[in-house]
Amino acid sequence: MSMSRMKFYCDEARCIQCDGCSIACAEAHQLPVGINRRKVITLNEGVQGKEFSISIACMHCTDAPCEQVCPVDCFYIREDGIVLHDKETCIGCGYCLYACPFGAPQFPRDGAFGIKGAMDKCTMCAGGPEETNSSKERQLYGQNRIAEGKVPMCAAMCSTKALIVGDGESISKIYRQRVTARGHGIQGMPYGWGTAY
Amino acid sequence: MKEFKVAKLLAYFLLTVSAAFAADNPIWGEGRITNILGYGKADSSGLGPLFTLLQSEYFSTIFLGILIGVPAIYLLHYLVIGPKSFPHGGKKIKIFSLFNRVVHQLAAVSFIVIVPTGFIMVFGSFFGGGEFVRLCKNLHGIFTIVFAIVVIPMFIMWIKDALFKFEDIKWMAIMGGYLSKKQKPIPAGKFNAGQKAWYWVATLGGMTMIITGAMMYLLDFNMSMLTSMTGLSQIDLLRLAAITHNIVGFLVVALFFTHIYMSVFGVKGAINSMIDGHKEEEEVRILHSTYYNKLKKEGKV
Amino acid sequence: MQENTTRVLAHKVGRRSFLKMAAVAGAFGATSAFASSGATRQATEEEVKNPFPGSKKVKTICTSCSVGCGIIAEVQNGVWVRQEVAQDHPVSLGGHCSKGAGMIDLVRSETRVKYPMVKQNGKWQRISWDQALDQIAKKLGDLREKDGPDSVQFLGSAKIGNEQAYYFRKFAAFFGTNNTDHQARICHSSTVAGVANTWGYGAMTNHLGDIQNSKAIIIFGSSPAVNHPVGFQHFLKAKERNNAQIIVVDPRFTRTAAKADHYAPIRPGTDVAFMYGMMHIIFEKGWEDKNYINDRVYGMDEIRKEAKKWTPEVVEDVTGVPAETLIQITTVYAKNRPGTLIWAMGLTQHSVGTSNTRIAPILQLVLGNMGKEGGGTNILRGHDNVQGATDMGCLADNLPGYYGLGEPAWKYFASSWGVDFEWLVGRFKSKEMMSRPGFSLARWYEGATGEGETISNNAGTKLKALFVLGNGITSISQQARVKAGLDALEMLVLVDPFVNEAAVLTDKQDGVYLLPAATQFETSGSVVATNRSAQWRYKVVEPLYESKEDHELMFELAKRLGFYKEYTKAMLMKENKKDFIWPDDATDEIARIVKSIGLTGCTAKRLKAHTDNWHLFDEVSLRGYGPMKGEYYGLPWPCWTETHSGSPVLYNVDKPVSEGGMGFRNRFGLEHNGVSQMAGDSVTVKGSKIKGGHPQITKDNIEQVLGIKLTEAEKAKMGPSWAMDKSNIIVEKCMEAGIAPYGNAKARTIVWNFPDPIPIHREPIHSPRTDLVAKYPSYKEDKKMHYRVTTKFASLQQSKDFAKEFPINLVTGRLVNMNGSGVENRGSKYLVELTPEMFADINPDLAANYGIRNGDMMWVHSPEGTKVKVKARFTQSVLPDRIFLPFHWAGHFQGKDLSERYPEGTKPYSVGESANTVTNYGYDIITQIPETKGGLCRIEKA
Repeated sequence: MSMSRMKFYCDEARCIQCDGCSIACAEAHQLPVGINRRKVITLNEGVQGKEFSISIACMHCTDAPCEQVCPVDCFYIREDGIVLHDKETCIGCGYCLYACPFGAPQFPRDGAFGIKGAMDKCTMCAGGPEETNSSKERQLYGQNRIAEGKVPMCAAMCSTKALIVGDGESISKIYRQRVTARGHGIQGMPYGWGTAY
Repeated sequence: MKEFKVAKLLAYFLLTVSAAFAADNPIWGEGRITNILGYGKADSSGLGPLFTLLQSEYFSTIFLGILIGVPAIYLLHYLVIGPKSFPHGGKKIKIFSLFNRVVHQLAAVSFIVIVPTGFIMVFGSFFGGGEFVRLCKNLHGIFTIVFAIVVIPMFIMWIKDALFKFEDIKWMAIMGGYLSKKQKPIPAGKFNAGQKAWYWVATLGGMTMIITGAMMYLLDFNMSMLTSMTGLSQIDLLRLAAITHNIVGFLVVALFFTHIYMSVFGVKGAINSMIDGHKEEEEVRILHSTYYNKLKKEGKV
Repeated sequence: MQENTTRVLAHKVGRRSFLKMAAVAGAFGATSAFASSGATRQATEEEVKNPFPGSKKVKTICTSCSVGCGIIAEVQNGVWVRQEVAQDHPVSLGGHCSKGAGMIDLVRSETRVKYPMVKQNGKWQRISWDQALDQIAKKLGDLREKDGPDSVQFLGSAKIGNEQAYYFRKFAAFFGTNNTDHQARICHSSTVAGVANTWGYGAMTNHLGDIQNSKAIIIFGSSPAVNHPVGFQHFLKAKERNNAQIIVVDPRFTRTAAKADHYAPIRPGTDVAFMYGMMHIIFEKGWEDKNYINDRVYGMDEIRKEAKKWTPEVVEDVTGVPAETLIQITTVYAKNRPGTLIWAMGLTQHSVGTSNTRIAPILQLVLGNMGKEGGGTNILRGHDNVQGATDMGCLADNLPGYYGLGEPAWKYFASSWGVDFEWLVGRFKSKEMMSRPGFSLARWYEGATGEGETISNNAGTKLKALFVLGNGITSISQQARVKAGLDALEMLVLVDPFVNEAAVLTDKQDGVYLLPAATQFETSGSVVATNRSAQWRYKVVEPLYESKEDHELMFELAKRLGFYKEYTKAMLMKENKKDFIWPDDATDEIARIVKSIGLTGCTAKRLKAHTDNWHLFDEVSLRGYGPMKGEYYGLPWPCWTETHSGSPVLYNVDKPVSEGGMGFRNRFGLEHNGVSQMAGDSVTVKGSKIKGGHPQITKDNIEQVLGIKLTEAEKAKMGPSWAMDKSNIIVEKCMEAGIAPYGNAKARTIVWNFPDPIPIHREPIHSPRTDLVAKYPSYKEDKKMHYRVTTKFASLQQSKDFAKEFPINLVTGRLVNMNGSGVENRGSKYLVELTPEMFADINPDLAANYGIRNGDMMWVHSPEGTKVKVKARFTQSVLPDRIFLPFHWAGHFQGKDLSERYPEGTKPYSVGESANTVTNYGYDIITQIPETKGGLCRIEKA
């Protein structure tokens, strides 16, 4: 039985910046205001033919650079490709942010003098190293929906199904179908997808 | 007086920079998407992949090398050649004023906290991360403030004595005479070439460490002046800061260990010059011969 | 497209494989999470499946917009702990926009009104419910005694369930006044009037999933990507499935325009000109559907005549859209059929709103796009239950079901409600007042200040009390005049889960009541989405804090005012019971009584079954299968009988009536100027006994038209016409004959009782083109007794050259993360984080001319003499001759911060200026919808 590798993909031909994904994530994990694990950004607003919107969060890269640079080795990559980290080990140094192409690591400034707290990022709704579905896990990382056999909240609630998540093979198949149907699509690998996968 | 004016200018600078908190977050705003384009592409700065490569493969190895190698070299020197010693009880020359010593002590205390905590962070996984390393990180930051207060005074008060002269090449050629057990006059001013090198690394290098460290601490602070000047995005500036911090860090740490060895072990009793400000006349005559001759001509000795 | 690809592209595969992935991921997730760490124990079966043991999932419907997305609420121990994904909902498919994803925040927001309060001596005092209701009932009773029932204005809600909206309308009727209205007045009242007067019903004709069948989608003045995001997925799927062309005609380059294939930046208020321009080209090229027009449309020659004048060059001058763009758009739209036409506020909110909403249907009739899958006029409504509340007649000029206010209608309702007609008449000031439309939501305040002839129009009294339930009146245009109206009242009652910011706007120091209503998650009932489908809401949690469900409040007041028994009698009538069950008996009461739009089949039992089984309906056709076979999701009205399937696509003659087929309604008489209004002979509804057109069925003509004989018993029970037949025998006979009881007629382009029989272009009251005002002026006469006020048209338009001093177009509109007056969304910190403060979208070129930089504060001045101070936001989406203001804020007024007026703990996380402080005077001549999408302003740096 081959292991599926979980990936995100945001189809910018369908994303309309409804922000359903970012709010779904914030609600599901009760995030503090100011931490945007998932964010939707629109570029070239108002320019015909150039405006597009896209939703971005941790892409759970296959060779995650964040995991490579962490000085305290707090990251671990699951067999299904989800990249997680241990907040209790994390020292909030910020190296993972520099290494990340997607700006996924966030740092709550809740210490005295605005000292950075432990890094927070999208967990693909897979919780953290704490006991599964314990209240400690929920407090630190949010819901662990994968353990419940459910899909990540953001993609599930995407209003146009622009954001899709799942096994990398299936994702690329769906996307390929859409592109074929539209009769046009990506010219090459956009936006660091080559880095992520 | 000069120090005061500079301090005021510095405060002004920090204030104006802090006033400008951007409406759109420079790290996590719109740039989050445009930065992806700039990652790893052929015509981009390439700082992202570069940082990842350096940090994952090289930095900690090099630091380990410095941590073990530099003290090892000096241990070897101590065992093979041994320290220089000069008779105490003779006449003393006033070298360092009270101001010099206070500034230096503050800097020394900061370094004594900053350098080890820096190492602990570099080898964070060895210490298991978590609370302890986080505490070290915060101490690293707090004592940077102490150092930041004294680095400008230190820079100004010793700059004249630290300017390189022709004799420093001669000093370098004989490695300051430390490779031989003999004690004959060495060509050096108030500060020898080694001390001068350390001065520049500690002040300019130190200021670089402070600035790059501050950039990493503040993260999404509005640095639009810098970004428009350099043409780099803020995340690229942060990556550059991290790389610079580490590389200049090699230099600072290596020379720091050197300085500790020389001032504590390499020359017996040398540390007293920083405690009471006086050096043995004999020590000055031998190790800082040019300075000694100058003082004789002025009749101060 | 190849067989395989088509099959594979079918939506079902997409959804199912998504779910399959979840199962796969789940299995892996469970194992790998434990494998790496030795510190965890094996979780129990129950724990791994559900972190909230013992919880149950409750199905309900989102309370934001009219798409009606399904919501699954997970409730544990009576606490709503999290939202789950409503994957199987046939319209939303589990999707939510930012508001829907954060619905749980609406319920547990800390800024909710928690207990009843009254403002006394400028301070908010907490009081008990009994105190509040006693005081309010006493005041209402006193006013009714002394000044008559017309001294009170009731403003109801599009955000409450059908049952509650119906009972709100009933409340006003039993109180004795027609001064009752709700949000539809200011959003789609012109739609209902214009569309209903064209072919019979004034609602969205197809549905969202049906758009996937379209080959071309043209959108006028609407941005579904922002306002109906989850519904927009169907548009995008049409793009993928059919290579559908999306055309957007809008003054701004919206998010919808970014996904469009063609875009026309039209000047606000010039849609009639544009559409005539399209028709000009269509007629010229002979692209119109001649057979369709012959058989099903009356009056097309008048349209041809008018369209001849609108050459592309003339259209370019008037609308600002280049001639080539007009030609290209017309070609694309005409050549890709079926095409569907979408509109929203951009088309409706104009002084010629009822012309706009007629020319758009006419365009569809020209192309033969009506009554077809993938065609139709898919009019997107706003609030979650505005369609339902409109159907329930919460309007100043109607009773539930659009029966009007004539005596036959009142007689029908009196008898259906089980009360004596004369007694009901006696509740009103006079029989005349019983049939006179009341004040509308758009202009009620003129009744409070006693302006003009309002006092004599209003039975000799000013409006002295305002009772607002679930209506954010800070989003009505001309807020300065709304404020004057509020200040003039003796009593102001505001019922809402959050602070109705009218309480903050008014300077009143006494007599302002804030009553906490429960949200729609704390009550149960049915709601109608934009496509006429009804959906059932189950109660998620009990009302929080001290809030009361809206109907409870009305019942309590009815008891104190002495008409509770009569008020609720109708719910006991069907089964002759002693006590009613809410809301089911109310739903059934509505089904029993409202026949005009065929709500007979929408009983509580059937609607609940649909919600329980919403996974058994098809996304594109809404057809049910398995136990739901033979029904369409939500039983879209008309649903003629308790076994009827519902009618998802209106006016479709290719389906039998039993499956929702029908022709156009016979509503405008049998003939006009000698021409028969019946549909052509070849227009026969499939399976119908009668060939060709036929009139609507009445007691008098049923035997002749259907060719049947009635028994004496049947004749005795039968009502006068299909819409007023309590026995429902007429409808059932029609079902047997396979015909729609409302007839099979032609649609008409001429509305003989409108001031403009066919739509013509008239410049907005405040137009930037003074030269065109002379050529296309507004209506010559002021309209008197227009919902009890006088409305000005040309007299105001031509009173001065507005464009000189106010050269910039003012466009208002919505943001995706807020709804209406915005106070409930601004009570959610996440939604506020997305747009933390009020702003104006402005083109950098325009801003540069005024020295305004990105992020600077600027003043926007209105011809009304008011101004607002807002932050400038640079964008290329507006041209340099217009600015855009979102209307979701309140709490500031003309630069003054009114924050300290909020009761403690109720201030939302963001306050700001209301765009409606600067919107201009202007109202549609028929429905009085405000002209908020066509105004002028002047800007300056603050």
